[in-house]
Amino acid sequence: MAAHLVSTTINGDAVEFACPADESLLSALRNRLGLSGAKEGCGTGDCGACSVTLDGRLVCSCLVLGVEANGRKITTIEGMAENGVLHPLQENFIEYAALQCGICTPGFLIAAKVLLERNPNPTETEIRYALAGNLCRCTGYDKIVRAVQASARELRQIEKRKGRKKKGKKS
Amino acid sequence: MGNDPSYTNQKFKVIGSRVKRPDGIDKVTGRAKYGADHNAPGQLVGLFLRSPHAHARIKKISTARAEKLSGVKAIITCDDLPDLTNGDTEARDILENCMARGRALYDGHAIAAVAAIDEKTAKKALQLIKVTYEALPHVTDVDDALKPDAPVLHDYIYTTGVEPKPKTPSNLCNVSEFGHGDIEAGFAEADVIVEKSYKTEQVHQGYIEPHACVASVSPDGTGELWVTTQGHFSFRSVCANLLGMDVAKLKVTASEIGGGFGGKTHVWTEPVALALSRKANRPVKVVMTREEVFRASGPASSTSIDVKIGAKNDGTITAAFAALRYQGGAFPGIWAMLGAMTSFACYNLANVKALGYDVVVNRPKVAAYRAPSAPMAAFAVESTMDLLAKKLRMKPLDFRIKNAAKEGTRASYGPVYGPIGIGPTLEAVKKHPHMRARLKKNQGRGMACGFWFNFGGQTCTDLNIATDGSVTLTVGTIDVGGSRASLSLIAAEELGIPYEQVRAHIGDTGSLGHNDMTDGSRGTFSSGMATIFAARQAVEVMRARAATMWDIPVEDVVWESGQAKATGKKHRKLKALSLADIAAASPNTGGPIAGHNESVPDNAGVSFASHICDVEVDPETGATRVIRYTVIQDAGKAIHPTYVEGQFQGGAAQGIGWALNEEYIYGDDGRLQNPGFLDYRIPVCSDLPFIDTQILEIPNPHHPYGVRGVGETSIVPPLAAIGNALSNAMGVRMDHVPMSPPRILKALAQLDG
Amino acid sequence: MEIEASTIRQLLMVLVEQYPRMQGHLDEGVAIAVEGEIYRDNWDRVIPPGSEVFLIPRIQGG
Ligand code: FES
Ligand code: FES
Repeated sequence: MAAHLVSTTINGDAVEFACPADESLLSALRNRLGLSGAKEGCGTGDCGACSVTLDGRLVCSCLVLGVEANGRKITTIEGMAENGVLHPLQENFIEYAALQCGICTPGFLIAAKVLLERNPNPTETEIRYALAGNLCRCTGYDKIVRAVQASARELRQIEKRKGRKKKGKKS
Repeated sequence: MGNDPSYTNQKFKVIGSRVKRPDGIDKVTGRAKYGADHNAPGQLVGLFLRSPHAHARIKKISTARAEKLSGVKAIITCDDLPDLTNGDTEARDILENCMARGRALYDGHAIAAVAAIDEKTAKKALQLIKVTYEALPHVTDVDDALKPDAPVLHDYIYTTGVEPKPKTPSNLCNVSEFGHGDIEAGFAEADVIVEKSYKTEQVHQGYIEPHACVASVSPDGTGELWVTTQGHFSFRSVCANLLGMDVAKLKVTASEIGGGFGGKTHVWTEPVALALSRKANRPVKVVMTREEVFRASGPASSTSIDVKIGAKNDGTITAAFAALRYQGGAFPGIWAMLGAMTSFACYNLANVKALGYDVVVNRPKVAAYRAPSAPMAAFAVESTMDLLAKKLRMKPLDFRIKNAAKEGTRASYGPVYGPIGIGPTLEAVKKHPHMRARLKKNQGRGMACGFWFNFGGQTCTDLNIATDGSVTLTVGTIDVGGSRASLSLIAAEELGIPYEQVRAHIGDTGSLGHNDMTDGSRGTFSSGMATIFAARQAVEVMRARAATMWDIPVEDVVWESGQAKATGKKHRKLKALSLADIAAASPNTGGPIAGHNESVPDNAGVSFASHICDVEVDPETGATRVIRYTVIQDAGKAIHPTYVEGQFQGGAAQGIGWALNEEYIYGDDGRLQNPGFLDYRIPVCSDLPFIDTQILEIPNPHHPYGVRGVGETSIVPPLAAIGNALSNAMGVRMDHVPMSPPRILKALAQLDG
Repeated sequence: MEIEASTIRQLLMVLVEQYPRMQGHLDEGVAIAVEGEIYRDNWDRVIPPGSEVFLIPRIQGG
């Protein structure tokens, strides 16, 4: 099978790579682009360890083809901290011990970020269902949910402050 | 000072604080390197051909066509792995499990392996290998395997542990017996006796990271192995022995580990990856698929257990008996023995007997899974305890408190206990608000206890102080849940410096002496003890260096709060020297400052837990939800309480999955039908509530800080706690795990009928 | 049985002397329980006088 040239944007950078039509995006990220933050726990869409976003939508990269990335925007765990500053979710995952072995962590962080972008004030149940596509075998999820709750609080405060500043400027 | 492991009740400065782990940032940014994240220049892809038969004679393997395929660099069958095990039956079993020798013993057993330039080529090569099988009768159920007409797996297994010695081979490898007293007399004394049989299905550890390694062997016989493992030193010895390499010439580096829970204490593909690399003369990377993990790594036993317990009307147990049958997969194991040892460990019993029957069947070779064998035994015993309490019209909790083991109790597995935590965890249950919370319709509450031994083991640790006063701690146990943070805390405590000044690393096999497997909850216990002694040795060196700097006798120097101080009036003017001061001067006072420790800190302290669980059952579907869960466990001393809680919660969640959903399903053809996370369903976030924890601290007398192992016990009580809760909710006694919706519906229907 | 020995190592030596067949078990791996605690490798552990010692198969954890 001939390789296809794929032009895409990953974590804000324009990237080109060639891959056969039947190769998964996960495999392209890990084996062609050196982005091994997304993990393969199953390869069948059941564990969420390979989570990335495709045009802002949460996907299992093991179920997306590399060629499908053409002309679209991908974010991976490697793009979550901006300019060396950890995202509040990343900070809180460490602070609340939401990771033990950490293999599921990149997937959870991506999924949680997507959740909080859509729903800044989720209930515990909403968090649990939003993260139900990500498996963690170490933590029993307790500390993961708490870290997400804490991050949601923090992000809402940040937004509030931003909002106040904007208002302040206008008047 | 010597290295005295005795508990000293010292006052702590940093121990017990909830610091951030040193590997945290790498793990939240995707930088941490796990088994599959490493690549070597020129590496090949290694893949395995696996048996589609539960049991078959391998008449012929023809690799000729695959070998001719362009891009194939090596093919391995058992012919490439001569038996060098020299009468060591355990090693021989490992060799045969890694690659079938004449017979496929279970669905998924490795038959051949290929190394090729890429995955596509390797896959094609696997298709070109032709294997001629002659199917043999198989058996996958532990009870069926013991029937007289069962197909016998191995003609060399004659049951040990029985008199007279059997004259014919069978699937029963060994019978072990534990206990004391006279159970016949005990049962005769009993006013009430309950007898019941139970079954539990096979489960997998379910670590999210599949097994992965990169093996590289050079023509000169040296080799390197990058691997996700719970014990890189043990992997080194096993692989070197199987392949006839010098142990010291194989360097094994442990990657970050994406979960193990016992399943990564055993080699599976690693020796074959090394053999492929040796044959191809290039590095070879082998990453298992999830399906391979389920079919061909090491799940836990399925079991069949009979329990009989008798008590007087006042609630005193007079006799207890259990017969425990555990399958170890296709090779002899010690799993029933462990079940028999742990089964009655929570109780103070005058007459007790537990018989363990270790059985082989056509399933993958069983490996340890968190407190291996204890959860199934606890399910059977703790369910029976509730049944008996009910018959005695006693509260199950009070019945347990009345019979709980305590200091001085002779354990059912032999020894006499020192200070232990079963009583205190039960008292804590009694006081816990969870016990008084209201329940609604279709809800029920249950509780159960659990026990695990905990182990120590060989340990070697190095501590080096840089000239700027920062400290490198190198340990040889694997960090499975934050032990680098806990060990750094310990080093900081001993040296009297801030936590941030210590950096802990996992050394490769070239940088430290042998360390045993990180199993039996020993990581923080053993390496922690070695770290204490290594730090104390470094302190001795620093005292001597301070003496040199001041030019006074070393006897006049004491170490206090991270500083060397000169004692006595004549040294009044000497200003205390900090660790940093002494480190800065070290190039001219004798060179680098280091402390190290090689030891065998056995004695990790037995550990007990009591769990409380509320469930809600949907009578229409039989689906059960855990709505509240509390773990109470003795930790000896919690070095980093958050991580201890994490161990408690993780173990409980695994136990909940085991209790309600997880099971290996074999078809009549002896093949595994659900080798994937879709059909082998582990708990997801929306299945569980928050899991409350309460840490008790009953110091381990054999550790300077009182630490006990904490990692395993929490998986022991959930099966029974949920079974007991279900019984209280619906009035049905579940005797088959998992207590899945179909089984619950069936039990409910029987109740109605 | 009663044996005079002050450490686990001595105990095992005496045992093998008296019961040569023990060597097989030792080669397979044993653990020793002294007063409720299990020792897998630390054969220097001192056995207090009068204490009970159990030989059990070497076991592993998860
Ligand atoms: S690897 Fe993609 S969902 Fe598991
Ligand atoms: S932290 Fe190990 S799987 Fe989630």
